[in-house]
Amino acid sequence: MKLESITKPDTESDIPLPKAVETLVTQAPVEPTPLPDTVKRRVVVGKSSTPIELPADTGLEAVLGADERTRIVSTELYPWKLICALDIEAPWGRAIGTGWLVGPRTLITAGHCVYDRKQLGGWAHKITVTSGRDRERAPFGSKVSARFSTLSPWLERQDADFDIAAIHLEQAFFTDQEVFRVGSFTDAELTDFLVNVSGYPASPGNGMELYWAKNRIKAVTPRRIFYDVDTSGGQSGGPSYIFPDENAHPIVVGIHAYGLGGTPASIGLRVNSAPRIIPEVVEKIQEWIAADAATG
Amino acid sequence: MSDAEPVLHRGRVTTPDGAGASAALVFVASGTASTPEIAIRCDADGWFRLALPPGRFVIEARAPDGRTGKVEVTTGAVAQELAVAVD
Repeated sequence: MKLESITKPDTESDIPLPKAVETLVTQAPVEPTPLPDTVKRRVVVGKSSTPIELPADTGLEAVLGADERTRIVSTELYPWKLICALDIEAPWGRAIGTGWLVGPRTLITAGHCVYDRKQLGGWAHKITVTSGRDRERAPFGSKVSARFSTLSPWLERQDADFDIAAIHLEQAFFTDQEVFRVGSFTDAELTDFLVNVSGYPASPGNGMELYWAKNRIKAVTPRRIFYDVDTSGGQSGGPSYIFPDENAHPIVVGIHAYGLGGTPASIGLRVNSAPRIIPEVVEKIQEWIAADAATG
Repeated sequence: MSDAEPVLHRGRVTTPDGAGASAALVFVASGTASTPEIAIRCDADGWFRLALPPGRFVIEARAPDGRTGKVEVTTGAVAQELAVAVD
């Protein structure tokens, strides 16, 4: 085995010390839109401590046991319509991903859907956003954007804990009554919350069908949340969201970005993960929403 | 999570007659290192580029007509050519 010597660089670390996680949720200007009955019957609400039986680890499972994703056909309903299929055009080719509306003209997605030095060749040229897409049906049309923002730790060092970006739209899809909220919660508040994960996977659906799955938040670290929910390529950037109660706005607590593999040993599980919404991220998202509103 | 730098690999998705699968989607289905859950769209001749850290991965492809295929690959620090057949 060949060993390499690593010398501490002269520069000090620019990785910020995590703030103490506190509860911070973007404020909705109005009462939440009531969930349609069909949605209420589908989504998971609140917490559960019921143990979840994991499949045996063979090292290379394609999915977590049987694929439990459900195709959502009624994509014109709230909150499904807030989830958007992304068609990404970048210097090194095309890709697909998922985004979601956090403001009338602001989408949140994974950082690697707008900027990836290794995969996309840098910033995307443009992204076509289709809200509530279901195959060829686009009930709210599509919008093209070439204005994106991401966070400095992602841009500078592709730090997966900050794999978060915004897509800025010239025109609104919906009003600010019908958008996701984002929330930072303490470890104790997050643990055991039932989580909903939605997105537009390549398979099934060719990136043209919305899928939803549920499970329980298994673990949290200062900047990640971990859950065993079936997902696959194309779902990057999708919302990982909770409902404190069935009359609450859906609150996004993580931005789905990574599949199985490479989970830290300290977690002791093979699960997928999302950069966690922390107070600094809530504040940055609020700035993005305000800036988009101001340029309207 | 692996901190190893991803390496950009080139690959091609082909149909049973050997032609390139135009506009097929390619993604990492599973692996020994964490990878983004983005899916890459092939060009008109079925070619794609995929950044992977060193490790073992199952790469899956789905053609627009619904045909799928997958291949298991072991990657290292050197770029290689990946081949995925859909049937």
